[in-house]
Amino acid sequence: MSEKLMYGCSLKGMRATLAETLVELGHENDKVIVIDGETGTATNILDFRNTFPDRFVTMGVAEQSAVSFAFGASRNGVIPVVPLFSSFMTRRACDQIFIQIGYANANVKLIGCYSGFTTPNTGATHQSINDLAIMRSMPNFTVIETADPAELKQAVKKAVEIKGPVYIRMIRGDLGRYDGVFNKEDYRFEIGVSPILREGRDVTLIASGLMVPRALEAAEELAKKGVSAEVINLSSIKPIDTGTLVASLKKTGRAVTAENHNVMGGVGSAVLEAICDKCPVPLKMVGIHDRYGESADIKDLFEKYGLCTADIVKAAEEILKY
Amino acid sequence: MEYKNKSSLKVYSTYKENMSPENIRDFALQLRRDVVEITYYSGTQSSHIGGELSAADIMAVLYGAVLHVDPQDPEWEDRDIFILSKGHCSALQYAAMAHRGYFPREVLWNEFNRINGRLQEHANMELPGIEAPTGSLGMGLCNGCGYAWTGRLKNKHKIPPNYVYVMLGDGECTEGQTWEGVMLGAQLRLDNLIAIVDYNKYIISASTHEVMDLEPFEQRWQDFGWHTQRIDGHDIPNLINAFDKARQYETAPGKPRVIIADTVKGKPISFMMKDAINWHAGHLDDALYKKCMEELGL
Repeated sequence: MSEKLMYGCSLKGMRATLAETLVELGHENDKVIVIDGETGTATNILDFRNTFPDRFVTMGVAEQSAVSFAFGASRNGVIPVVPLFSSFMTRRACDQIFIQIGYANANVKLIGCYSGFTTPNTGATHQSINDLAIMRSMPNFTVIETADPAELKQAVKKAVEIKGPVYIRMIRGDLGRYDGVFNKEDYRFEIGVSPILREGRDVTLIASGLMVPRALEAAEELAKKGVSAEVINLSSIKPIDTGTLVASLKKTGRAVTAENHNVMGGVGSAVLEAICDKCPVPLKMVGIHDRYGESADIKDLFEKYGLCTADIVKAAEEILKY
Repeated sequence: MEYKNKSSLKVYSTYKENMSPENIRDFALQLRRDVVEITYYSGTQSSHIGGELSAADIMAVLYGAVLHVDPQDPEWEDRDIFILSKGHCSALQYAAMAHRGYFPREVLWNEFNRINGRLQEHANMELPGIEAPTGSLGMGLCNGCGYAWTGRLKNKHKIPPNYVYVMLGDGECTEGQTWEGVMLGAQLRLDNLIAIVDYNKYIISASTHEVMDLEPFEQRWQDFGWHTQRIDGHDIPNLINAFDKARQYETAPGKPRVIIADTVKGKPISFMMKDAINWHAGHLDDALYKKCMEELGL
């Protein structure tokens, strides 16, 4: 990828983009504050602390505090952005998020970092494989997972712009191959809208986050085999773009979903829920199949747990036999 | 289901400005009668009445003499914040709010635990005047820290015009998150944060001492960096004085304040005080309702 500017976003990694976006937001909107739980170094939000020390506060390693504090803060007219590890935010502080952010419809923006297998050297304890299942099941929440840094920047800004609770799922930063630009050049992120990245006739590949580039690669592979695959970036997981999904599936009649998450309750489930009464089609899910991870090299993890381009290709070929 | 119809009882005492300690004592008695009535007429004929009665004097002092709020403008920027962290005792807060004029009194009888009612057993944000959705215990102090810290931020780190009050139960002080909030309040030097513990000595199944002893309770708060006062939570003049002292900046610059209020669960209903274990939450049938009202002088 070249170093050109894409939709106002310099081509940086996901993590660097979060840092840059928060500082920009800090300048644009003096109501934005950042609440940390001692993961600030990893989530790369210390630029915000250094630029706006008055508007940054850390809780210690206390996710429950961070969420409850954010609720109280939001009631005082500020817009709290809370970037924590997605595993501990959504699991440890699940009750606080459910009651004090979701039920309260609080204007709080949660950013779940290091999702899925993108934290390889920590193992099952830190690998967030059910955060989407948890967050999707919370009424009032908007749930987003972006495919590239430019989309991330737009999504974070959109989250701050709208009122109400938002959860943005992120990968660990600095995963070179996911720092490209996968959406189209004139793309503008909108909540509830899923961009079609590649048009096709035979099968629809629906992916979120870092599975989007894999789905695009899989579509290339499939094209070589004479299969025309459509690729949808499901960055807005909730609300979901039922219209785009149904239109695509009416055309292709086959679907493969791909997620860096347990297939139970994640992207595949979300797609099924959206289409099952409108356009029921054979669907295969690529993702973590209901088991815990382990600490290992990221490439080995993705291979063992079936999150590679080849797994999407295989699933597509299988579903075409139905 | 069919609900009981309330025949209206005469209001014995209500909120007015500049109440004397005697007025507030009457107000507390009124709140206790209201709590019994809310419980009896609720859609479930129940509430968490034991802890409501133990906290009634504190609530009367808060809503009668302490809280600067404007029920006509519930989101008034400079209002005091009150968070009932022991959220299961909402009926007591609702009673006090009705006297302050947040909503008409009949809402107490018609909408508590009734389908589509606004008065949830654990309050939510749809009711103006409620500052936090609590009920899952241990969260309120951290909410208070969020309010207090951003209150200072808005006022450029000078002392803000308002205070943040959080009422905790002793039972919820066995929640880990309560102690996260205790550490956080001290670390952030929130001297605009005032906690009060309704220390009625009972958790649910047994005494707090037997289940998870909090003592030396006052010492523990002190060791975490809080300014502490320990008082009789049924002594109205002392409660007023304690809140007055907690509000003075000079009392303890840079320190959050806690008032540990020794109380009696179920007070003054004799059968509840004797059997507090069975009156954490309770149902009031016709006979028990009458007995409660007799003991409350009706």
